[in-house]
Amino acid sequence: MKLKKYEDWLTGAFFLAVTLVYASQIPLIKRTKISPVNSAFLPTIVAICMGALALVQLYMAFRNWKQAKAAGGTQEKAEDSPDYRRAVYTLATALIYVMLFKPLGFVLSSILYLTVQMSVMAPKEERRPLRFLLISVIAVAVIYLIFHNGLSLLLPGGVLTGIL
Amino acid sequence: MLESLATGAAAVCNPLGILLILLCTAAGIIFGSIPGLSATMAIALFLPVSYGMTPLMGMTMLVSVYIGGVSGGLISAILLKMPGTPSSVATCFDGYPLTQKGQGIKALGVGVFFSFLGTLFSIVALIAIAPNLATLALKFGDFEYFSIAVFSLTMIASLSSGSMVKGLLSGFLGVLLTTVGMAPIDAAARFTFGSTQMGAGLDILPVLIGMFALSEIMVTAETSAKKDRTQIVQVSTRGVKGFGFSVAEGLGQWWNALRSALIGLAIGILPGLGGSTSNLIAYTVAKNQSSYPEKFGTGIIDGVVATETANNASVGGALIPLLTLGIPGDMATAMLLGGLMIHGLQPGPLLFQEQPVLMYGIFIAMLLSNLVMLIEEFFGLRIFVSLLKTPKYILLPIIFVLCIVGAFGLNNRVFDTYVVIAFGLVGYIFIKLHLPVAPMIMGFVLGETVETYMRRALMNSKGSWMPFLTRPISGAFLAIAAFSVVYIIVKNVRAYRRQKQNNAL
Repeated sequence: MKLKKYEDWLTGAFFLAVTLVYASQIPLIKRTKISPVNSAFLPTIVAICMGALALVQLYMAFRNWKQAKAAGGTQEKAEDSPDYRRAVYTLATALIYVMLFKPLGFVLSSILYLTVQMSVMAPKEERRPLRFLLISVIAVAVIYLIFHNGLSLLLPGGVLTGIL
Repeated sequence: MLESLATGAAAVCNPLGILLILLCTAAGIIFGSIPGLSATMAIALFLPVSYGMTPLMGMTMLVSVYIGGVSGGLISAILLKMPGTPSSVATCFDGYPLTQKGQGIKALGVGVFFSFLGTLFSIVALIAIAPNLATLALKFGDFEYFSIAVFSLTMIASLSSGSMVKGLLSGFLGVLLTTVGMAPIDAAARFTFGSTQMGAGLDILPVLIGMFALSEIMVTAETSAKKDRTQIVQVSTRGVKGFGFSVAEGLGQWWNALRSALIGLAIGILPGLGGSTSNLIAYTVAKNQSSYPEKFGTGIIDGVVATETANNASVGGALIPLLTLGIPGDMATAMLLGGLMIHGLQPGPLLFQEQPVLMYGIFIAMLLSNLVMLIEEFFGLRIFVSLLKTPKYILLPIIFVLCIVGAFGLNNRVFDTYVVIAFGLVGYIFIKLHLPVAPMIMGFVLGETVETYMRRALMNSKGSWMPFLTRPISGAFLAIAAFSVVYIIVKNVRAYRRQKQNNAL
């Protein structure tokens, strides 16, 4: 699998990118003299340590890559290839769900989310949207009754405000 | 004291008291077992209900929810690799691998039984030595808290499985996240990118839900479309007796359990630190002191025993400063304090003299609730496992909706639900890059403590760093921290050299 091959590089690059974004914000922190060390003290230490460790990680990735190259490259085991598209769809579905959570309200957005998410995750031969819709309606009704009616937790009403 | 306990027992052991303990412990277990709904949230939701009750019945209800909630977290941690509460993060490390091996019942049984022992240990400590322990905790000032947090942070290196650099990067990311929002002491805005919502900082619950629940759903989605994988794991309950583990296996864990209970109790007593820290520390100590550390994370009961004994022992520990000094250690105990205050009661040494029936009644309610928790979870074992028979494409999305309810209900703001999504992506990256999550959680839990106490201590010492070293308790913890860092470095260098020699041969 390609990702495994570049795992060490990606780790170093990911943390270096996080450090750079983080460090770029440190000069914006307001320095006060209330305490002997100001609010930028710990972030500066964290940025320095993380940046240094990310560079060490990249160096190790380079060293391992050189060693692997010298050894003529290793054969990767054939893995069960994951379907990354479904993971991306899952994240996108979850993101749309929270975006609709307030405007549509808990009940409608959750029913929509559950039906779509179940369809995304289910195998083709078990994909029955109507059944998923029914399960979603029941599940959301139970959750809503317990939390909203039973425990007085304020969940967004959205377009159904005043009806429920 | 025995007389007071008997009076307390008489006050609690009435039909209403017993019914409250039975129902509220069960409610706590359900809340705890659902990722995103924590014990703290359960207490918050039950708090208004307690207003119409007598102080003792109200507190009986709240402590039952608390005890059930902390213990319930183990169920989803073991069966779904999603910690039900922040206190059961480390339970996933060995609990879920046990489930994958088909030993889910055994893992649950061990978790439930040692949760019971952990809570029992801490309640006995609470009853017997609470005032003395509280006085000791009072000797801990800003310097000591800073040093303990630094000492705990050095455990990150031990939690790094595989690459030490990756573990440290993960740990620093955790600390980095605590610096988002208003800074302690001077409330300077940091890394908020102009957002007022970010000013309040990141709460642990949405971060955990994202890191564990959403990322797990994403990983499951990758393969769930294959028909043979629609069930999470197969767990057989046939031929499993009692708690699923033998007496010999249980007795073999006595030292691990006792040590973890002491760790949990000690950490629980210290305000600001609680079950979310103690389970990780107890797990690390158990791993470091084990004669087979390499087996940790592969599915052994030692890991489950350590975390579940420790996080439940923190329950009684956290109540010690609350009931004896009126200082709440964490959010959950702050809610319990609220439960007392709405009845016009101020916890502290005087309350033991003025309201002995109430105080000892609370102790009895805790003991009973702990017993009820054991019984309910014992009979629930097979029901919990049968949940796994639900196809994961139905179960996991429903759990996610509950997670979003929990994240939203925390502060009644949609921002926390976005945090879940963002950390779902971070968690997914962690899984794909094989980065250890435990150090990040440890850094996140302790980062704020380190900074707050460091800055407060330096204000007290007018900028001098010397008291960190010269104060006995603080100096001792820093010395142990330094020793453990040197020890880990030496151990790693030796292992590296050995590996190099082996490669050369």
